[in-house]
Amino acid sequence: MKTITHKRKSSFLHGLLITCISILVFTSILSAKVKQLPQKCILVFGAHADDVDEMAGGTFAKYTANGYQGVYVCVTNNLAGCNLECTPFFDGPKFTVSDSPNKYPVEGIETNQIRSEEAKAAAAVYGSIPVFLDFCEPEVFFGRKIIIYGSQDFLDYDAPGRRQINLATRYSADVNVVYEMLKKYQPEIVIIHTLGGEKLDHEGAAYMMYLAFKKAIDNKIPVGKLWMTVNGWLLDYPSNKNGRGKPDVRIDVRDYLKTKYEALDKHVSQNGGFGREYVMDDGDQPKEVIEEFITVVDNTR
Amino acid sequence: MNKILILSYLLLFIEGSVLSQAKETPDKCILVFGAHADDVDEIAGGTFAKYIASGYKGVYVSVTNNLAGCNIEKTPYSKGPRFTVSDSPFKYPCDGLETNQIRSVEARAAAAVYGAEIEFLDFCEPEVYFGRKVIIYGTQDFLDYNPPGRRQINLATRYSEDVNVVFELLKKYKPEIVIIHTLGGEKLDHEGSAYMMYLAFTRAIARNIPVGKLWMTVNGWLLDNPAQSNGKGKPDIQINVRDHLKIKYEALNKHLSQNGGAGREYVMNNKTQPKEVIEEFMTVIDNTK
Repeated sequence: MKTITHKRKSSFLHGLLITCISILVFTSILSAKVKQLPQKCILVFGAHADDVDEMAGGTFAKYTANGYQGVYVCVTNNLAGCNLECTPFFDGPKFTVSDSPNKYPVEGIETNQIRSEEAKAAAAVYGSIPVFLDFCEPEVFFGRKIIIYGSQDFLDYDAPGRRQINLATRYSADVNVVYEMLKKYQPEIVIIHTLGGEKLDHEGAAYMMYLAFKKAIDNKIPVGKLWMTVNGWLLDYPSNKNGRGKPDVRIDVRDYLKTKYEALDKHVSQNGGFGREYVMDDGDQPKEVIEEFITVVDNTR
Repeated sequence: MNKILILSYLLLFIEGSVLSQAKETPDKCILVFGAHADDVDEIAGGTFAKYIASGYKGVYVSVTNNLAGCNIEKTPYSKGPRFTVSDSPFKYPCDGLETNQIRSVEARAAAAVYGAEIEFLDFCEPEVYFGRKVIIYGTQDFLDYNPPGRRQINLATRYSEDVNVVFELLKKYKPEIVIIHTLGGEKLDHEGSAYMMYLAFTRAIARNIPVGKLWMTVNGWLLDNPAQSNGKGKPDIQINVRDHLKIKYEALNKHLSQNGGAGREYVMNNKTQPKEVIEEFMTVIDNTK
């Protein structure tokens, strides 16, 4: 009888122990899962000062309006790409002091300053945080002379900033700059330019984020989805026909176009304050009402 | 008289359009556009061998000048003794010019295995070894080293004169098939080379140069889960190269500085390499339709 009671007591303790351990394991799994959820944050990774607005302005506005923290990233230091007196695409009077009909390239440092101010103003329209990563562009204007990265003139100009963005994809120290940003914001959504689909800086910026995003996943940083715009070879005939270029993410931004264009208009040095015309003139730009993307990585599954 | 004149015009017109159509057909030529000296063999060696065996002219392109990526005494991936003079267990990076020479000789030997023509485009790599020091493109050291070659391949995609180097190559060979690395899918030089050809190929089409199909390997994001599960990463070209592996590996073995003469092991150890018997590609552009 005593033995049976002892056995019952022992099996009760044993069961209790197993239950406690199970609860502990379950709780720790649960807390580990909670820890691994990305933040309610959208990060758009534009190569140049106005790229966030152009490639995903409506989506960015929609998510930030819905309570997501917005991170507005300018990957390069914008040493090139700015003119005085006349903006690249419009004859508008909003960027001239002399009414000259000609445009004159602005020097590197001045361009950097002008475009940074414009990007900060645009980021503020969305109520987002601007981040400047300061990777070099492949060129600097020096008066009317174009100075190309890798030349003696470029070194003599001693432009501020990190390595040129494409070259930087090769070095762990540079990839870590982006990785640290992901670690800081833990975004649920990250949007990049098209991988392999576009001009130099865009491609470099996109691939840099791809590398950092994969590194973040490997290191258990809670990042969510990586989307890219649809450009270049993905718009060519074979990809369009066989579905490779078909976007799987479509965001209706009808109600957010006002915010998008308000932000885009801040880039006066590029579009003279005519953001919508500037974007709609470019066949590569996203459709106006529906912004479309392709999922590159989905870490939420 | 009028009828005869109209008939003559018609005949001339038909002849002209027939001639112009004939001009627009690409040559029976396959061009593989490898970033480095051994990339042709790695990305499409079996396909290259197969097409050449079927009567196609082969053009074996090394896009960069291979200033980096070579060691002496020991090769990067194999323990083989075939690249040592001292039996040292260590590897020592070769200097830039030495690497360029070694890898050019290896590429020539590999191209000869296929009976292909070889083209070196001489775009710079992003690095040069100088003793044990790595010198990076864009630094004062790189300029002081003054290596031969054009602009670094990725930067070169930005300049028309550089794109024209590749455009002229297409104009010269008018290839029916061109194979590149994955667009946006791979490391710096591979991506730069692929995009450079994409730009030149679209330029060639715009200028009525008869080029055929542009295929690319399947790597990077196209191998990730979303692209694999939604079909975006699915190749549409599959070439059975079973009967041509011997030639592929014979060519690959010529790159002693990279694989110690153990080409198959070297390739099969790399999971991003093409499958052995079936080489797979994606059509980027089809100008034959």
